[in-house]
Amino acid sequence: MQVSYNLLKEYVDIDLTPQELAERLSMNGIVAERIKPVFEEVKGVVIGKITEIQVIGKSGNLSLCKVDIKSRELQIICGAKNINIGDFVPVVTEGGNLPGLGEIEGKEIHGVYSQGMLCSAWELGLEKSKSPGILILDNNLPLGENIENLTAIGNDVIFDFEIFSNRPDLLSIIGIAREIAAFSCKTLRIPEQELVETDELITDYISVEVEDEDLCPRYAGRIIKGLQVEESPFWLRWKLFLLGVRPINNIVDITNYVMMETGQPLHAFDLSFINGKKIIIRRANPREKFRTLDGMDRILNVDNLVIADSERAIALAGVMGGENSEIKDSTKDVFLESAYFDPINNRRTSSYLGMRTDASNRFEKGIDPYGQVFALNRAAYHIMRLTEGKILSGVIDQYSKKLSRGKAIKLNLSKVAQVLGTKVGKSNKESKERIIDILNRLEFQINSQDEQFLEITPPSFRSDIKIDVDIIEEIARIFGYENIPSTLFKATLIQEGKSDRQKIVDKMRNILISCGMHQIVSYSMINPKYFEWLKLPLSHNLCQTIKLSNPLIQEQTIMRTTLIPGLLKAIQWNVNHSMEQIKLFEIGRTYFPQKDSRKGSLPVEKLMVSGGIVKIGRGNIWQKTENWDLFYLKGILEAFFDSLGVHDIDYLPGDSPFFHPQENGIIKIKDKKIAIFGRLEDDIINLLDIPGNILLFELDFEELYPLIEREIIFQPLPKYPYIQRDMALVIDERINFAQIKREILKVSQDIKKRVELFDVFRGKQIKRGCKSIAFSIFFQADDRTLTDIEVDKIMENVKIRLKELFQADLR
Amino acid sequence: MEKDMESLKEKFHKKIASIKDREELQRIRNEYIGRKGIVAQMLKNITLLSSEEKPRVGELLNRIKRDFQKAIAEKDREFLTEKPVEEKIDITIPGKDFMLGTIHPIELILKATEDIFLGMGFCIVDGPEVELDYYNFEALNIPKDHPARDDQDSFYITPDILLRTQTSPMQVRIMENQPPPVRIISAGKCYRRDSIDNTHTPMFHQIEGLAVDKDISMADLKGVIIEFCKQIFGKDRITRFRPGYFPFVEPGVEVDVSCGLCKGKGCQSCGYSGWLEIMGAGMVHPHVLEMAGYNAQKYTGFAFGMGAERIAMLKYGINDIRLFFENDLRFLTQFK
Ligand SMILES: [Zn+2]
Repeated sequence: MQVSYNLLKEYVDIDLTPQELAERLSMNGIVAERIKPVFEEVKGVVIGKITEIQVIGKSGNLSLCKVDIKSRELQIICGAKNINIGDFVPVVTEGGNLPGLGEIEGKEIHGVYSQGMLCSAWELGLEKSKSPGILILDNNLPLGENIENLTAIGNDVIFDFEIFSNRPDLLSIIGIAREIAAFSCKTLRIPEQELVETDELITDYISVEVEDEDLCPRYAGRIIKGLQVEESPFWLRWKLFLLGVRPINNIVDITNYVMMETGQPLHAFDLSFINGKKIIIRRANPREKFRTLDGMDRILNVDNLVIADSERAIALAGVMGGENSEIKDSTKDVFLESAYFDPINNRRTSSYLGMRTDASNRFEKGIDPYGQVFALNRAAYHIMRLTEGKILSGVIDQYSKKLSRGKAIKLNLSKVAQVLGTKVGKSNKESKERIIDILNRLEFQINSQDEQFLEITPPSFRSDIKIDVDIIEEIARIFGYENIPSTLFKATLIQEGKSDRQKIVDKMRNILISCGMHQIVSYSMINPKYFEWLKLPLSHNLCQTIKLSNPLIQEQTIMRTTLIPGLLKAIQWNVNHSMEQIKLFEIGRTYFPQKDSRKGSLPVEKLMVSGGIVKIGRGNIWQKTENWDLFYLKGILEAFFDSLGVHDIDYLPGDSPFFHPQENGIIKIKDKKIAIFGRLEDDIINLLDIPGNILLFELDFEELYPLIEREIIFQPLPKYPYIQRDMALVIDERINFAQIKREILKVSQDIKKRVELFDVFRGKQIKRGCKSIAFSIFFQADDRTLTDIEVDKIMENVKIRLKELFQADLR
Repeated sequence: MEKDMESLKEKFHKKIASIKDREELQRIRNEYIGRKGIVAQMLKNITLLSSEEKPRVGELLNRIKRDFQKAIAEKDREFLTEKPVEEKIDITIPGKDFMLGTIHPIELILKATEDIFLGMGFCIVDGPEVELDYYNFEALNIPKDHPARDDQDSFYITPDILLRTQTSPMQVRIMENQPPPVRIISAGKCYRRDSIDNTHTPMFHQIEGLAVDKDISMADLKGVIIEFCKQIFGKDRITRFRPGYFPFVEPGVEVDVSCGLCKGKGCQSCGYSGWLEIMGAGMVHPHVLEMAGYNAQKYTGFAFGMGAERIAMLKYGINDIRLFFENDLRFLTQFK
């Protein structure tokens, strides 16, 4: 809601400066998003009078004007068509300044020197978009004076207030002035007007039939005849500039001005285009065609309310008028409409048609259902004053019986103190007096009162006040939130705080960070193309996704089922920005379609932990950094599981289609698959254009969580030394280390054994299809120092076992 | 025997120190730790000791053996590597990389916030991100066709299911499942159909708080929020409360904190107002309490919600929200 300081002062006395006023209003919930002087960055603009106009140049588009600015006469070249001799206009002189245009210099055009420029409203910063024509000023303004110094118009400040959607009453000058009056204990001045009506009766010219009272609970109208449509006088155009409304013609300007003043949208129809002397407010017919006054053809449905005459629709109720009945220069007689339309239906219509207008914005939020006739009379009065128009006798005002004043609300005075945490006065009596005073200032009516209760009827323009807490907010607003004390809870509450699950998630994050990995957060919505790039068949579980029905961009149309796309995107970004050592992880949710289709059941959200590492280039010789290969990643995973308290993990060959066929693993615990890890396939690396080996893992936290051991049980330190033996085997490629280890551990199970790999070798000396594996075995007993003889014996059994089972050759 | 070991060690190290070449080293290796060397002999003699002494002495001998092995290996390496004429250590040379990871700045804010509220007796709960329209809007006093829906353009999955636009649905879910008193914090991802620019991303994080009990007032809300702001932004910052509008609270509150750059005088980053908007709050609307099955005559409560990105941007001076989701390491590694 745009309004100026001087405009507000017409309705209420204001002791505060514009800055102070804005500050004070913000504490009442009306925040000025923008405060600017009416002439911001305007310098050297004076009032001039055009004394001569002479067309120059061949095209005839330019004219040379002589302009009297009192101290001297200027010659200025101008391209606008709307100027006449005798007009008072704003003139920016050489060296002056205009917003957006900067300093203005004189210049030569067609051999004539132009000493400045005549200004349009837009050039002076009064309009947001360009409009043709010079701003024609009032002939009473003093010639030669600087426009920005004029007390009448220059000395003003424009506010742009943000209005909460529950306060449509504040979308008006009177509404904001009423708030100012309430907090500053001043009187609101509502203008009164005396209408002069002719003897002709309105009912001879029009009858109104409301077919749907629910959608149009109130419909009022007046007729003014014999008026003249022309440009509005300067004072009216000026007010509209201050309100951010573009002047059009006197009739439209008056309806717009009264809407801004009172909050009641008005619409003027050309009476001569209303057929059958009849206004019918009805639902549109199915697929009824209607051309609104912006020239667009609309297809309506039965939920849209129209204003019709005996033959056709002439307006889209509460949204926009029709082209067939709009005010034209030739219009002589008008029917003025002032109505109250159902907010919900109005909102449906405007969103269905994608049309938001100043009027619909007010109707959908709920205007004052008792403000129609006041606004109507106000507009009629202005039309009468500005034109030759005659107001016909009588006003049409049809309203539904259901239209009632706000319901009375019972307010328990002790509840005010309970909700605010303080009394608003020293004693109960003082508090009550203060509450009544505040409510009176806001025009609430106190119907009855006793010690404990007030019965209150809110004013009709406050449709947002429905229950007692709404009134308590009003009291708090005027009392001032800053006057409410601050306390901490009286009662203590003992609760668990964090759940076990949340603590484990925190722990996982900390472990990964100590592995040198950086946490990322990526979008939950992904591009389905990733599934194609990752070579996942459509039948794959990960491709069963939840789709957005109204995505914003193509890259984000489905909900992720894996964190890998986000990781790859982040890796790509960092590679493209010349990072060389990239170690990232994300702990985030993935989303899967719901299992049952019952109403109220939601998709399944699973927490995943994923990581990706890649090293680009050769690294740094001084740092001698490690090679980041599959076993480096596996090292991180082993450390992760170990720190988390997860044991008995099987790392097995995997079959993920996006991993290299060899470097492709799954992780199982107790035969449950909980994770995958591997190196991204070469094709995919090429596709993503990343010059390095990307190693990835993804872990399903929902599967892992129940397998985590919470309790730490101390193991006594060994009392006796261990004995180490090394062993090297040549063994079939198909036998893996895990199998060998398992068999070794089976021998002499009463002796503790630890198997540690130290080399794997393939080469000329080794038989084809075989590999050499070297490892150390550490033997230890709980109850004695093992002897060499004992250990030699166990080693012998190990060798026999491995030979028998795997045909292993000892080296 | 232990005394023998000490002198043995001493003798060994003296010898090692005076060695001239690898041949000599080999001789010493055989002499001391060879199969028939001194240590091996001593180990054999253990059998003569009492059973209590055996393990201890055995361990000592093994330790000596390892010590000798190490000394010999080191000496050997000395022979094998060229020794610089004059070895000097440049202490200014950088150490070897030992890279720790970092927590995402949003996570830092969520954790810091959770910690503050844990200290005030709140507990932390999680809720679904893919949510029913009912919980996201209707149960929060925002029926269909309510103008407040305009501010929260939503991503829909079906007409009834959407990506939550706020964390507030958790208020209702918690109250439906738990009798009062309630004191919870819920943080997580939210989604709005906003085009991406430097202050908007279609996904962001919100932190929601709710406290309901028999005797909770706006004064309690003020106390809790002032405490939070002090801990997050610093003790010198002032918190301001003014009326706000959210359909699920009444009275509604907007919370501002004084601008840290200009100390409240007004500067470009606070739009010359001296204040920064940080959260919306208010007293839980009786309709919301009732919809969740609470007795609104008996219980009152407050709720608040804030954007984690906004808090992080204000706290760290970040000027573009998109940075949070680009995951650029040059950005991420600044938050330690
Ligand atoms: Zn500032």
